[in-house]
Amino acid sequence: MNADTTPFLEVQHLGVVFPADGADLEVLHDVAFRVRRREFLAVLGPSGCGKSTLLRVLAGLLPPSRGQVTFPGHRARPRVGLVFQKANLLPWRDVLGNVSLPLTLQGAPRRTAERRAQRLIARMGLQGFEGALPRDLSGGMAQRVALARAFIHQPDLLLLDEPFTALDALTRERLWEELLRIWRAERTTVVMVTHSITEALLLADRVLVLSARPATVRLDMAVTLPRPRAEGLRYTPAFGQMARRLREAIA
Amino acid sequence: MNLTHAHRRLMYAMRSNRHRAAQHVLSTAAAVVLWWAVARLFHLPAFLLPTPGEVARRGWQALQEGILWRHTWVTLQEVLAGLALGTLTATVLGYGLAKSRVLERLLAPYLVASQSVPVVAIAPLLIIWFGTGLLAKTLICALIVFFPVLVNTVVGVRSVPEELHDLFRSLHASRWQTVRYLEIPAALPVFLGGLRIGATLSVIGAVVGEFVAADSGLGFLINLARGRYDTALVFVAVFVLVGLALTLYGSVVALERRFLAWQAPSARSGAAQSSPGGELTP
Repeated sequence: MNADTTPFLEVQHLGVVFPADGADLEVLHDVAFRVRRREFLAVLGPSGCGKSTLLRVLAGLLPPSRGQVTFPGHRARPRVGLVFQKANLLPWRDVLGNVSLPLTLQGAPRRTAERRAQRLIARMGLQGFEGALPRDLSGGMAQRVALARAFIHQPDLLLLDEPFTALDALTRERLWEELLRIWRAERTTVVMVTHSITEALLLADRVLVLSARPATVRLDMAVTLPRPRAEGLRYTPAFGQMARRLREAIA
Repeated sequence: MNLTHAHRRLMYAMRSNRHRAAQHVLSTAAAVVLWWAVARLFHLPAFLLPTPGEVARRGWQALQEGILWRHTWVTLQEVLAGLALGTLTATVLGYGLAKSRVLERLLAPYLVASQSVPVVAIAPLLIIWFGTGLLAKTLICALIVFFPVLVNTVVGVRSVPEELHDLFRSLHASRWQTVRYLEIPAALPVFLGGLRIGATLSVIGAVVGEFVAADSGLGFLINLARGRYDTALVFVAVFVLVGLALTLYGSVVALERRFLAWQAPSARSGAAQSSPGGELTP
């Protein structure tokens, strides 16, 4: 069984340089890491360090200046689901239309798309809101819709760019649970950029800490806390130790 | 007895609707009375200022003779053809300009320069080149419609947030899918704002063309009536033109109501951009 030893995603010598007048802006410098299939990886780092740039490269939206991103088990680019800090819903489509958008773009029959959308909407606790327009949704509800949309086409790789930052604490904690539930059910590989140490430790299997710009990998730490991770875990010594390691790596 | 909140709101809405209708009737009536009073008090001859009654009678007569309908039909054809042609070219070119900086750099100076030349000055040229028929008038019309629609198309297409483009790219959307599912709906509010301006301008374009050289159309009818000191008929033609422009404007507003229902009523951004608030916005 080499399923565990062959990485799902491999990043090697990744560098990103934005050309600018005068001095070029180097955002990522020799970044290297691997992600296993179905692993949940959190990426931490000081703000403005290039976490989002890394995510854009992984999504295939930005070509790397140096190095490469490969998906060893895949012949083609894997399917990608994206969730941003803002929900980024299409304001002219209702909840059902927004969630089913990726399937619509894949050319799936409308009935199939809507049936699967309905199921994900229910899983995110949004049943009854299928016909609601984005303007009538709260921030938490909109982000739930964005999560459902990111999962609907069964992506191989889910990329989350600080998806819970704009939400209030209560909504954030409820969405953590929902994300974990849906991640387990859909068996997706996740890379999540965040600036919350707690969020990283409660959700991820592994945490990557990036340095300030130009970003390199400072720390690559496995999170050995058992799942399911209850809220109370925050106050255990093991959690505290890991949090301290992360905080020291970021500073 | 207490009225519920919903009840009160409903009654208030009905009253304010009735208020508005009453205001319209009242202001129109006041204008007509004022017009009549001015014509009467100053003993103005009919060739200077005919009374409302004389204009109404002249309109009825022109309608029965068939000349009013004939000339209106000619102008309407020019307006609709010009509006369609101008909107089509402006939309296609506007999309190209919005997507390509190179195209924008190449064409922008000419487009801006073309706007500094009044259509009235170009109209005779177009008549010389394309004759006095429908074609030249349609082109003049299209020319005047072109710019506001073009500008609003560019602004509309550019207003699509970069993150939504990222989303579509990450989903491997084709060029056409991006246009259909993202750019058209996102640009529609601003685009329709431009079309609203273009629709009213198209009537002006047609009349300009007809003023320069024509043997039919409402602009021609105005010229003809002026030559005969038939001022009442001039008024009739002007009112029909106003009616045409209002109908076109209303049609675009209806399109906005139909396709922009997803916007909060207060946020019809295309409208806010192109005209002041109040009655001019849908």
